[in-house]
Amino acid sequence: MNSSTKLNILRTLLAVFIALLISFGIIFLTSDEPVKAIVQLLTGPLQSQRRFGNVIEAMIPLIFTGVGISIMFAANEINLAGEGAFHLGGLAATYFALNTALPPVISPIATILIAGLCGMIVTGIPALMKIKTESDVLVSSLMMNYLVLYFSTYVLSNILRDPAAGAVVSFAVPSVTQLGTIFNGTRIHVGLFIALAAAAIGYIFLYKTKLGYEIRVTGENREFARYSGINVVKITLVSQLFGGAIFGIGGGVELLGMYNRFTWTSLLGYGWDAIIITTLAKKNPIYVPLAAFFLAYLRTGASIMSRSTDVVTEIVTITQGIIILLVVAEQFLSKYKHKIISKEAKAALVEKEGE
Amino acid sequence: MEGNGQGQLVEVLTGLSKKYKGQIKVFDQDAKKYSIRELRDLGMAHIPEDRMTYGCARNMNIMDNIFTNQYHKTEYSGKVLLKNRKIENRVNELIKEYRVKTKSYRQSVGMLSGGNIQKVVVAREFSTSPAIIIANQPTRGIDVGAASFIRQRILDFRDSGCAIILISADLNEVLELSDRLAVIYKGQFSGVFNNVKNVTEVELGKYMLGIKKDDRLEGIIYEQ
Repeated sequence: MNSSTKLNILRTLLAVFIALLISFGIIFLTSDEPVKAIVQLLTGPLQSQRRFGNVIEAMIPLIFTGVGISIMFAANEINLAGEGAFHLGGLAATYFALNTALPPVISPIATILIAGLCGMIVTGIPALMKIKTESDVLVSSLMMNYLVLYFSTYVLSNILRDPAAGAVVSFAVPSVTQLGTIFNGTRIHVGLFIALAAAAIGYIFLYKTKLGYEIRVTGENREFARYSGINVVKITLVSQLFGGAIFGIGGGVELLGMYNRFTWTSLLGYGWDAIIITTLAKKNPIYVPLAAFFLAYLRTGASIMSRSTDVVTEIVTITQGIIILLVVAEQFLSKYKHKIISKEAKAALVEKEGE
Repeated sequence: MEGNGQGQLVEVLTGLSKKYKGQIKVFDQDAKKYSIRELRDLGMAHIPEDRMTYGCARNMNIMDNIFTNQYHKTEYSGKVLLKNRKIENRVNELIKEYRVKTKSYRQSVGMLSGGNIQKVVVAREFSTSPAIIIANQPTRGIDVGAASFIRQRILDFRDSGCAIILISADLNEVLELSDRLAVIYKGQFSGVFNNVKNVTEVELGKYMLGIKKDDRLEGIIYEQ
């Protein structure tokens, strides 16, 4: 591990620490029982198996979205249609599962793959629009999310809706397609393994394959990539298709694991969470599970805290905000970075003189 | 002298731009139909004028930077995966051969000095044993040691039969290294010299300013 990686880890940890301190400060200022609130926030998720289960359940979709966006951002393309890809993934999984009768094991696999394909379409459209019409991906991908949302709501209320159910929900997905739970007493489902596999595959893809290398070079310097002979247009498209597929798979897995009916009538915000995750994980899929765990833990803790004390869950949003600010602020710890670099340079000089 | 279309000339020659009239031939084939990757695979190397824009990705490490033009070759990658061990060995060899001053290939290129960045660029371009080298300002803004090292390399390639187009604002460099020399004025060749030793800076200057113009050169490049 070289010094810049170490520094990055230190920076992230310190950012988290400072953000937590500030959040604690706010809790002390506003709460009547601050100590209890903080203890609940930090240790709440560990107090029972079910609560820890909640952390892991919440972590699963965050891993998928974190990996997906890491791959898209690696090509330096700010495509935010992941949100929609996740949503459509869930819808497609429901639709496919309700309209096919496949044997167990094959059924969830096929369903999840279809979800991935749909995710690919959602992120692929803004990417294609950029190639064909030079339209800004950021804008078109954000619009895409609303298209997907209202399309899904239409399909849900007109095609998939179960009239027997009280609320606007779809028919229940057959149990052969649903993902089984792994631990009794929790709702942790097989999707955990798929998520961890996605992180590993994402890492191998970006750092060990030709395509991943091309994506990273293109993302770091597009002109340089083109000059080197890389087909940058193809590469940015591939990165967004691949990222979208992982978002879609995430939507499918989340639906088959945590819900048995499609109930999403508003955007779930996983696309935004993904940005927090990828910022913490420095665009490296291998760190995504850690970042996802941290965020899931914090949120579960906050929800426990709000149930047992007078502090509301929104406090975590403040913590998240401060973390992101500090991690992306280039100047944060820049003096320390400077010191490390000059120390290394001096050491190298001494070494050379010694030769 | 810059600003007389050298940049555009290089873009066209290296395949970065396809917007031109006329024809460029590479090994008797029309260059227009080749992509940059195909041109490079045919043996073209290009040292870009602006090393930070075209020559490297500053946040990536030396290994990632030194391999962008050859990672796809069967020696270094399979259908999907990169052969990391082989790449690593080759990168260490190149760092040694081109005397890049660094502790390891994991150093990000942006942290190196200008001369060392240029050595990385040159190492990358020369390591494919090219048949054609287009060197645009290869020694601009770097230290004397690195510059003379790079010049020597260029001469070595000349001796081994490689075709080299050197574009430079440094007249001494041009006079010292070239076997043949051409001056472009307003997009056209105004003078071509086959005997560079007898050319003086003053004379070159006249051609560069358009005061003198070789009429025999209308439309032709040079005849061997």
